Amino acid sequence: MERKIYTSDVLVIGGSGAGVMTAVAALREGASVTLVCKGKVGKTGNAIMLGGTFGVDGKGAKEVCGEADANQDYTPESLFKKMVDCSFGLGDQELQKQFVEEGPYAVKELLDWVKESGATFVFAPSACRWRAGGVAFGNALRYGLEKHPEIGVFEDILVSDLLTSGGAACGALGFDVFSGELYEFRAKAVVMCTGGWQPYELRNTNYDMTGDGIAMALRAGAKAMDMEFLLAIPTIQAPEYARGSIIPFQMTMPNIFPLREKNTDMDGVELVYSKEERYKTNASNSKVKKLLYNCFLGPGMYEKWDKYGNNYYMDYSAYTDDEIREGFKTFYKNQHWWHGKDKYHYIDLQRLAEHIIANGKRLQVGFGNEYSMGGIEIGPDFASSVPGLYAAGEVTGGLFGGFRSGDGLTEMLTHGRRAGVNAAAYAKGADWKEPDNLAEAEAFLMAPLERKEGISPIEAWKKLEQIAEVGFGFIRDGKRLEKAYEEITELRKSMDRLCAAGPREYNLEWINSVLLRNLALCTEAGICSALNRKESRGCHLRVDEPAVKNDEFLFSFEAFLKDGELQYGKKIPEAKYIPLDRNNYPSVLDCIAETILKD
Amino acid sequence: MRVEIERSGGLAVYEVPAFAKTMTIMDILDYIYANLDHSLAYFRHSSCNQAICGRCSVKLDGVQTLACAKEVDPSAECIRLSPANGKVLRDLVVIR
Repeated sequence: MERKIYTSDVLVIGGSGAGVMTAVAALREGASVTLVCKGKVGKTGNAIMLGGTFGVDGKGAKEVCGEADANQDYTPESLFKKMVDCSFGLGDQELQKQFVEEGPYAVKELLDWVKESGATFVFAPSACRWRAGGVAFGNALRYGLEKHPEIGVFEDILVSDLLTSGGAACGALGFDVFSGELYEFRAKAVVMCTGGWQPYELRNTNYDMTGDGIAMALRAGAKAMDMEFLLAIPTIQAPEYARGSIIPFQMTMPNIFPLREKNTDMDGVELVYSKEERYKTNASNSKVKKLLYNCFLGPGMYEKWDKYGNNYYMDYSAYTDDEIREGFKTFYKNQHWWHGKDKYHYIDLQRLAEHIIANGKRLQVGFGNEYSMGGIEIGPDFASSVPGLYAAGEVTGGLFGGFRSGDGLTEMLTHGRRAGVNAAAYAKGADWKEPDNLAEAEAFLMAPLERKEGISPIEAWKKLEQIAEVGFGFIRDGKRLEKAYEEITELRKSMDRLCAAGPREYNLEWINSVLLRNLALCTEAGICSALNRKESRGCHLRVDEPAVKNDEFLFSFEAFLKDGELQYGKKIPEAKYIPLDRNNYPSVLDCIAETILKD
Repeated sequence: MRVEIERSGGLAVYEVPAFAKTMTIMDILDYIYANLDHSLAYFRHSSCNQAICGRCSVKLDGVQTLACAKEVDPSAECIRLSPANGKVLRDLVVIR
């Protein structure tokens, strides 16, 4: 079939932080570089949803990034220790060490772009974090990429599969979502920077975080790991027009929103967030509050899951109407650099305040998935088990293990910088290869278009969301997981009947057929790993198995494909720098209190 | 609610069930695509749904707006959606 063919030493797939950093780093090493993105660079992926902060340790912030008043008590060693603890033992300590040591340099490069592009990031010295807006972050990335016009950039190209030769990566096949034209990219090394995945109907991420890179890597013969670990934060369920916004999560932060909520289930029964001393966080470990919210609120929500699902209230009835209105004025003041007057993106904050007041001073929220810890298994050189295939950013597994403590933005920048260097070095010593799976990849891509009848991708996607919402939420049990596993395997079997009959020009069913096949593969791997992990650990919370069982489950589930079916293995973490905690704990909460918050 | 869409092949008319809550144009397009007509083309891939990426422009009753951010009056009996300014590729998708 007719297609456009482009060639470069290094092919980068993805157009957010990891992709841009990888491309620039590889170019600096002398490689010719192509970057392909399914949307627009700097306007795709989850980074643009940023509403919080990202940071490094105090020494790095001061000595590398030039922040003179950075908190020097927040040492590289304490950041490293926090990452090991927060990963619940599953994080790769070599990757974590690299994150700590190289993070400041990657962040510095971005900060230079921020400065040059005229954007504003605000440094918080005590936590050593920069507060930023998603649009500003995306614009800085775009600026950084445009500073390097030698990089070939292809936007709105959806890559459907990797091309391989004798088991080694040698390019990728995709299509222009607008014209439907096929594109073949040939390269000596490929770096996957496509971000994470999330299978739920309540989205606080980009619309299609469908695990494309993970699924493509699996189909090419790589392994994925830690797919059961998904991180969820308070997200608006209603009002409908604001659904998916992460405003509620920000409202839990005293430095952004001054009112403190009481959490209740949908019947008004309080879901208690314990004020016990052992759960107290500080500026440098406050990220663990995300997991604490899951742990404290989850069991109570679960009791009424059949009736209310993923819904609860943040209740502000302890405050007057005016205090609520003023609260949102403060909210705005703390973020005014990145939003229009009294707005958070398009949401009018005073209107939201009035909605809360009229709704019994309650805001209806749920836990929306913001980050996936699992992904492509890589070594410290960011290489996967497929020769020539590298990965960077959220698409990878291994850095954060069971719970993400460090920042996703720092991760994508740091990973990208290192993966780009390594991929360029690999490309220097590699030969050009002819793909041996081109016909197969093309047939796989075109099949839904050519099928006259079959299953609608959007209808199948809705089913997948339902399966995940009911049986694979942030709070789980064996029975629901078992049912969800039966349903997802059945659904995935139906993927070879997806039908997207119609023109190739912006055919949403065709686009979604590619995305859905990826998402279904990731979801099956996630549910199966969750089912087999008969314990709770990090973001994997089971009401029927609440204990953290380090004597039985201190390993990562690996997933890989064999003859089209997912197979599973175990990866025992190496403790190269800090010994692993072998103690068992009655619950994730106890583990958090005894390890992460102990010092 | 009667939703008229100026598609490449001519005007298409859909009956969308009355909704009590405020919906955005994107909610309505998603409903039509998922439940009434899988062939409808509107900008959806790699989109943020929160007026951040700024890529989902359409016209509501002749006025250009972002589909994900523009709310539709639930009491309206009929709305008309047409492509944003630019070269129309298919239905509501334009190349800009």
